This record gives sequence, structure tokens and C-alpha cells, in this order.
Amino acid sequence: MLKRIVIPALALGPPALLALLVLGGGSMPCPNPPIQGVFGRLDPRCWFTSAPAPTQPIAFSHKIHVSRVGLPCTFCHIYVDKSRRAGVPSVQKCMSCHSVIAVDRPEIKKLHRYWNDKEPVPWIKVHNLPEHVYFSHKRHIKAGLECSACHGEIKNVSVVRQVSSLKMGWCVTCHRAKKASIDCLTCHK
Amino acid sequence: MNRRDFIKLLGTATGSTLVASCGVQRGTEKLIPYLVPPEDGLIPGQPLFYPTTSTECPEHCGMMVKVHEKPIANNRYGRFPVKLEGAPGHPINDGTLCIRGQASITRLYHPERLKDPLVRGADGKLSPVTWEEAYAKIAKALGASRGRGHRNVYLSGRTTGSLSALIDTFCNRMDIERLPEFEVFSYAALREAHGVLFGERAIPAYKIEQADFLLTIGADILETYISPTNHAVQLSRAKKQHRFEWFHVEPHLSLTGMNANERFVVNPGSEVYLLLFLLSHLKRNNRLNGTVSGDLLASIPDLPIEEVSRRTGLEADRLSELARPFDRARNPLVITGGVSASQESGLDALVLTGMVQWLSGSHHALIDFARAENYSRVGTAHDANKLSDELQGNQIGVIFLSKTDPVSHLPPSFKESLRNAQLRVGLSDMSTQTMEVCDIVLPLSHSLESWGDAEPRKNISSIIQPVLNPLHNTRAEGDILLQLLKAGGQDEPFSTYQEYVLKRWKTRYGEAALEAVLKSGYHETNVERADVQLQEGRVAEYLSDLRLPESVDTPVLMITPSIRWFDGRSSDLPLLHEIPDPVTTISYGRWVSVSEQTARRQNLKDGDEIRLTSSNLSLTLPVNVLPGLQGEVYLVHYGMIDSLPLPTSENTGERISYISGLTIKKTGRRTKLPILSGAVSLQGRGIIPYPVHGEVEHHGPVTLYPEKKYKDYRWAMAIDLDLCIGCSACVAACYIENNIPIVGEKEHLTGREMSWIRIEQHNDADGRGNFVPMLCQHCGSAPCEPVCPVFAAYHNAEGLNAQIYNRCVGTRYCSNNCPFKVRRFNWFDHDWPAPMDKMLNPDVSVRTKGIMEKCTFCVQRIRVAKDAAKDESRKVRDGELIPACAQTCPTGAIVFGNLLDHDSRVYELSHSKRAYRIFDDLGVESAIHYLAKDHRTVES
Repeated sequence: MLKRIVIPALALGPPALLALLVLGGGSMPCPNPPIQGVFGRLDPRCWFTSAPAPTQPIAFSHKIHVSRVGLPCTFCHIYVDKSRRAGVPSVQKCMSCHSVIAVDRPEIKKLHRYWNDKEPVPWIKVHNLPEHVYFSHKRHIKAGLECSACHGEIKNVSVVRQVSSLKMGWCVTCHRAKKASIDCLTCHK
Repeated sequence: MNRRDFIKLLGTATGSTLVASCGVQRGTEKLIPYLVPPEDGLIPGQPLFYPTTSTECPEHCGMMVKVHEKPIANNRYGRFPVKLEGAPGHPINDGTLCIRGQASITRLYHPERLKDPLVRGADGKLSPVTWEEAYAKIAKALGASRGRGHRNVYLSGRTTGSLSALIDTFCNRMDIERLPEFEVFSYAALREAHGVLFGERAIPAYKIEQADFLLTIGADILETYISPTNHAVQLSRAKKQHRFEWFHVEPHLSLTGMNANERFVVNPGSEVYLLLFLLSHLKRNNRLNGTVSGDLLASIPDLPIEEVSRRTGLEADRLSELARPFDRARNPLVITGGVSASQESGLDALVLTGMVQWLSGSHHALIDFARAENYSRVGTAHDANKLSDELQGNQIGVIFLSKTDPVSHLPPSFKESLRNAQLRVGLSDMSTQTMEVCDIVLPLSHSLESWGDAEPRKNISSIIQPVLNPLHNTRAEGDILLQLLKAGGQDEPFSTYQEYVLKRWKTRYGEAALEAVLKSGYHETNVERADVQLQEGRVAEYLSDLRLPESVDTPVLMITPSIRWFDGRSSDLPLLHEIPDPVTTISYGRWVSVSEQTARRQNLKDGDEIRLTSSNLSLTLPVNVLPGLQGEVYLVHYGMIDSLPLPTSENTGERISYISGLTIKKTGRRTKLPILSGAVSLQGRGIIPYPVHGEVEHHGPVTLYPEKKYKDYRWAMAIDLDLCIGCSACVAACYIENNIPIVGEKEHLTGREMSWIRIEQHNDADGRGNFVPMLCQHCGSAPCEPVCPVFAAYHNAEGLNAQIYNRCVGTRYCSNNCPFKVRRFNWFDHDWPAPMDKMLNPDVSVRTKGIMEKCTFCVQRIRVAKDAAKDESRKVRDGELIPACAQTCPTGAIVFGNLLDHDSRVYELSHSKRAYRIFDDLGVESAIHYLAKDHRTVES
């Protein structure tokens, strides 16, 4: 396989070779945050890891809510088995607990500020799919897939980052393994 | 190395270079939660449907609005309608919607909508002000004009239901006179005729569905006449349910005429002779068995057939052919209207029509006055002329002009006289010619942004409910009136028009009915039959005074309604320029249609410019040679020419749509017209075979393609050409559903139109139309698939000929290899300027420059249907999955389904005796079966 890529790369000259070097440079560490420079570009070294862990407006910890409190994913992501989108909990939902729980913590105070200002929390989206992709959370959940199959061990992390590449090859590998449809039109809209 | 590996390597090499040099922007997209979750059950990612009523034309079809949630500024979501669909079961349109209804969503997002109240300043220019400033100005002017002894008046287009009631209240309390409503299609002559015949000046409902013989004279029942979508729905039911024969008589060529089984072309203005001929036929052969008085029968003048033949231009045997169905039909129905009613002898023609209907014995079965249209407030051209005189006499103080555009429809003198009013207040959603002369312009909200209702017929009330907040600083007419009452110092119990409408519904129909209406969209009242009786004495008197009309001088210019623009009001919508007129297949521009004889005599070709002049008219237009049009008749659509000096009929107040006394001169200049159909004859290609299943040579089993095997589904379509009326509603629905860009005239002239479905016209020698909806045939052995170097075009396991946009590299090989010319290439990136971007269907990709696109059988709807079926562990049921084109089709000509399901309708139709596939001899195994018309000869 490598031979099939390297030979034409050699034929195409230095730029392709350089690209290969960069691509192959998995050993170089990916900085955090991975978005760098004035143009807000992803550091090329992070291409393989593809794990941006953006700083969220509130340092929400899945670890506390899932592992310590024991909430199921669907407690907050209520649409995950009903719609394409899993849904983020409404600010009202957060407040249904946090109007009494942990009200003195600085991060919870931030939440209160949003609620009092009648502003939704502007979370940064971690898992992005290109616009031409049709993806349904519902179908994957109904097929019996665990959330962690794509999102990783969310219950153990305090800062969410993307652990799967979410690239077509990654999707198709799983679809093949599970004998799900690999028709292009299943996902390409 | 095969071609796939080559492309793969190319991708690897260039792709890695890109990674190194560009990078990908990440971490900027937001994930915005609700502050409070919505209470109406909206699930993010899934659309909601709300019932409402179309206001694009006076028919008022019931609609379901598909609403999607989309992010807007300030980390919020807004809800935006993305598609309009017919409301299933609605008594008018029963789940279907016409071309204008489909396109009317673009009116909401139109970038040129009026966005703020405007007041004309000292410099003569309109500039934005606040609502309160505008109201204060109006209130002050109303008082001042009353002080000077001027009358204040309110002129609107046809208004029904709550808004009409509120206008009455407003006018009473503010001492304003409400004028008869201004409509171009006022049906004044028809109402007058029913006054003569039955003493009831009303527009009845026609039960085309129950007729077995339909004779239409001039009436464009499929384009604009009274209730065109309803007529199409009924026509389809009549054709499906029983033997149905339809003859059409007209002096010109219309879409309605092209669809009739037989079309009779008469000389302009000779309809009265034809009707007298039918009457004398029925006098001898009527089924009323002597219940009609002898005096009445005696008053019917007898004309020698030679005279009728000479006047109408129809041979004697054609005339008897026209009369014959009256002897055999059980329920004949005669409808006269359109250009045959809007002429000097229009009233005579309509009274005679009523007589023909009465003597044929099926009047009570087919003409329903109990379900009459609400037109009693609509005025005539006399009323408009009277207003013009009053304005000239300086009698008018403040004039309100609401949702009406008299300036562009009335002769130029009206515009001048309008300047004599003290203050002109316009209410409109867009700038029209009338608004341009107004001093204060109040921007109206679209009906999708406001509450309201409509009562198109006596027994139907249809609700209008908002699905989004106004996009601009606009208000609903009802709210404006309530606020003006307050500004005028009046005590008003209702603070919003919503309260007013809902209170009125509760009072009229009760709380329970209102709840039901908010879900279904309409309320139908049971009405008793109201049988009208012929006023025999009055009619006999009328007939004895009948003066036979003189022939109309030719050449004559005829102004005809068109299915795209109605009376011109829908020409505001760019989509209705992009979709070609189905009769001429011309998309953009203005033109005058001439007959082939005229073209030959004057040596005219498509695009040659001519000047038409008469005593008060001078027009320069390019020519379109229209096969099927006969004689010295020049056709122009309503909306193409403003302020036409059309005369008024003295006895009815109907505007006459003929201008004779013309001189025609070729200017020598040429204009390129975007005529989208290369030829309307079949050129021997067998697109419509005759006879059906004739000697078409099949290539049979010799094929190089492997046989396709399908497991669960083979999506397929059947299109009944006997039902297709060429109305192009499917085309409009497809544009909106699939985010198809509007590319404009320049692109059309180079043959780069983007429609995924088009209406092809293949005419008989005598002008009868054969309309063929042409879309991707989803061939089993598609010629486009093997030529794609990147596998962007491929065949999927459900029979779809798929096109994967982000794989496409734009070689256009597929398009070159497609025998149906249904693939469309994006030569440019197409803009969706705000707020039009909110109209985009989120389930369909927006294609970019360099991408080939085409019909997908609405794969987004297939996904949704399969998703719902999977939830219940079953297959998709027949009929639950309908593509946009089939859903909107007023005649139900398009049927979609699974060919593997032997109980499906598409399977049944595809195996009908009439079924055939276009270019079947190519062996492409297309998935669309067309059902040929019966008893038709087709020029080949």
C-alpha cells in the first residue's frame, strides 16, 4: 500500500514528498489547542489525531455528570433516539438541577448568568460533519450502537474532544463490519 | 492501472499537498441549546407542518407549510418555511397545489420586499419612517379631508372573511367609504348573466367531476378561471371515474384548449352564433319534455347553418360534431368564460350558455349556487371608471389602496387622476406601479407571517396562521387597521388582529371547531342545495331583444390570462419567469404570439420584432410563432404590458380583452427569445408512440450490461399522459424542494436551464397538446453511469440512478451520454442572497460550480420514509412516500412507488395496456412508464 502511494509521490516531486513527510509525522505532538495562528487554522500535525478540544464557555464536565452522578446520556440528549440530532439540553434543563445544586461554584454561576440574561449557552461544536452528509443519531442508537462507539469514553473525560476521525473511510469500515448499508446515497445527500 | 486507481492516486497526491498548504478551519461552529424547549413538539432536525391558506390568487387553496428550524443571529434559532404543499382533503385543492401556489413561498423571501413604512418627502422620494409617524400622518389627513368635505375611500383587491369584516368596521367607524373591490378578473359579465337567467348575480361552483361531457367556450378553466386547481382536480376525477369527453371552443390557443379531446377554433367574437346553433339544436332535442314554456323556445332565433358556419369559420360537419354529444351525454356541462366572456357580446354568450345548460337538462346536477364563490364585493370596470371620474372631480381626500394594483391594469388616465387625491395610502408587500404613486406606503406581512382567514366560497372558511415572525418591519393588514383605529382616537377592544380572527371564529363556529381548524386548516359548512329557477319571462324578453354581434375586425390583439402570472400579479416572482410558459415554452421576456399563417404572410420568424399600433396603443414586441393559433390573432399575456387601454363593456362592466383596428409593422430588429423547446413536433423520435405498442424494434436480450437485481425496492414512476395538463406545478415544486437555482435569462439563452423536471410539448397537427413531463428516467442500464470516471454516477440497489455531488468532478460525460437530456451542470456558483438562504431545504445539498446534478426521485423523502418504516420494522408502504412533483400534481398524473411490490399502484399502472417507455429500443430499462392517451393520433 505504502509503495503505491510513495512511488507516484516521488513522481510528482518535492511538494508531494513534503506532504508525505508531514502526514507521516505522527510522532510530532499535536499542540492544545490545535487551532493556531491568526488565520485560525488547524495545526497540520493534528491531522491524524484530529482531536480539537475547544475551550467551552462553561467548563462542563461529562465525567461528573455521568460517572459521579450517574445520569444516562439520554437524560440530557433527549432526541438521540428520536431524531437525526441528539440535541443539547436546554438551559432550562440545566437549571432544573442547578437552581439548587452546586449553586456556589464559579462555573454554575456562569450558567446562572446565562439563564438570568435569557441567553443560550454558546457551546462550541466538537463533532462536525460536512454539509453534504446525512447522518441520523436515531438509526445508530436503534441499531444498538453505544454512544461510546463514536464519541469515546465520554463518561471519563472532563473536556470533550473528538476521538474518531469522522471521515468517510472510518464510517464505511464500521458499516462494512456491521453489514450496514454502504450505498453512497445512505449518507450523501 | 485501471481508471479508478488513477483517480485515487491523483486524489492522494493533490490532497496531501492541500493539507500541507491550506489546513482546515475548525472549532468555529456553535452548538446552541434552547433556552426553554419548544412546547409544540418540534424535534430538532425534523420539520413541522402547519395548515394555512394560499393567498397568491383568489382561489385560496389549503396548504401545509413545511417548517424547519435554522440558526439565526445572536445564538438563536428561527423557524422558516421551506416548502408549501397542498392540504390533503381540502375541498378546493385536495392535497395538490398549482405552479403559482408552489412558487408563492419565494414571495416571502423576495429580496425586493418592502421592509419599512415609507413616506414621500418634499423631494418626492419615499423614505422610511416609523409606523407611528405613518399612522399619525394618515389620521391627520383623514381629519383634514373630512373638514374640507372630501370623501375618504378604501379600495382593495378581493377580500373575504375576517379581514373583510374588519375593513367594514374600520370604514364605518372612521367614516371612510369602502369601494367595490378591484379585480382584473371580476367575472362581471358572468354575474350579470346569472342575474338575467336566475335573478342571482353569483358565480356558482361547477361540478365538472360529475359531468360526462364538458364543453368549454373560451373559459381557461385550467389557468385562472374562477378555481383552476379545483377544476384540474375534478377533471382528473371525471376522467378516472367514468366516460368523459371534453370539447373546447376558442378563438385563440390556451393551455385549456390544448388539453381538450377536441378543439374548435372559431373567429373572434363569433361565439354567440355557435351558441345559437347549439340552442336551436337543443330546442329540437331537449330532454325537458315540455317543462320550458313555448314562448321561451319561440324566442330562440333560428339561424341557417350556413350563416353560423360563415360567422364562426367552422364547417357544417364540425358544427354537428360539436352538437352531437348533447344527444348522447347524460350530464353535459357548458362553461363559457375567459376571452369569450370579456368581449362586447360577452353577456349574450353567457346568457345563451345558461340557456344551453338549462335545455340540456343537467343544470341542477352540475351547477351549484349554494357553494357559490364570494364575489359579491368585487366591482366591475364601471366602478373603476367611476372612481377615476370622482378623482378627476377632486372629490376624494384620502384613498387607501390595499393589495391591489389598478395603475398597472387600468389605462394611463387612471394614474393621472389618482394624483388628484389629497393623500394616497398604499398597502402592499412589494413595490408596484400603484405604490409608486402613493404618498404613504405601508409594508404588508406575507400571509405566512400573519393571522387571517379566507372564505373563497360560501361554505368554506380556511385559516391563515403565521409560521414565522415577520422577516422585516412589516405588519398584517388587519393589525394596521386596528392600530389606525386607535391612532384615529377610536376605542378598540382588540389589540391584535390575531385576537380578532380567533374571536370571530369562536363566535361563528364554536371553540371545538376552532381547535379542529388549527389542525386541519379549514372548516366546511354543510349547505342545503339551493336550486335556482330560470326566469323564463325575463330570458325570453332578453332573447327577443338579442342583437347579433358584428364580426370582430382583424387583426386583433387578445390579452389572455396565463397560468404563470394569473392577471400579472405573480410576475413578481422570479421562479415564474424561470419556468417556461407551457404553451409557448418561452421562459423569460415578453412576446406576442402569432399564428403560422400570419408568420408566413408577413415573413415573421421567432424573435422578429413587430410594432402593433392602434388609435391609443403602440407596442413593440418580439414574435413567437405559435402552431395551433389560427388567423389574424395576436396574443399577449396579462402582466406583460402595463396600463393597456382596454375598453369596457357597457352592459356588464367587464373589461374587453380585445384591441382591434391594429396596424402591424415589422421593425426589422430581432430579439433572442429563450424558447426552451427545440421543436414541438416529434420528428419521428417516437416519444409518444402511435399506435401504442406499435412496431418498435426492441434490441431484446442482446445487452452488454449485467442484469440488475433488486432486493427490497425498485423505485419507479408511472406518468399518465392522459391526465397531465402541462400546468408545470411539478416543475415549481421540484425547484423549491431540491434547492434548484434560478439562473436567469442569459443562461437560458445558452441552453443552460437547471430544471430537473420539464414539461415537453409534442403537438398534434391540429394544435392539441401532448405534454410529457421529462425527468431522470432512473434507467436500469443507464448510459450515464459507465462513462463517469469517478463513480459519481452509479446505480444503487434500489434502482436509483444516484449522483454523488462531492465525488463529481464535472467532466459532463454523463450529460453527453444521456438520451433524455435531464442532467444539469452548474456552470457557476449560485447565490441565495439573504433572506433567500432560509428557504433552502436542509435535507438537500446545495450544489456548487462544476457539479452535475439531476432528479433524485426526491431521495431525501425516500430516506425519511425508510427511516419511519425501519422504526416499525417494516417496508415502506405504497403511497406513504411521494416525491414533490407527484405530491403537487393537481390531476394526480404522476404515481411513484416500488415496482417490486406487486400490489402497488405504480406496478399496476406500469403493466397497463397504455404503458410504454420512452426510447425503450435503446435498452436503457428506464424506471418511468408513460401511459399514452387513448384514441389519439399523433403526428410523428
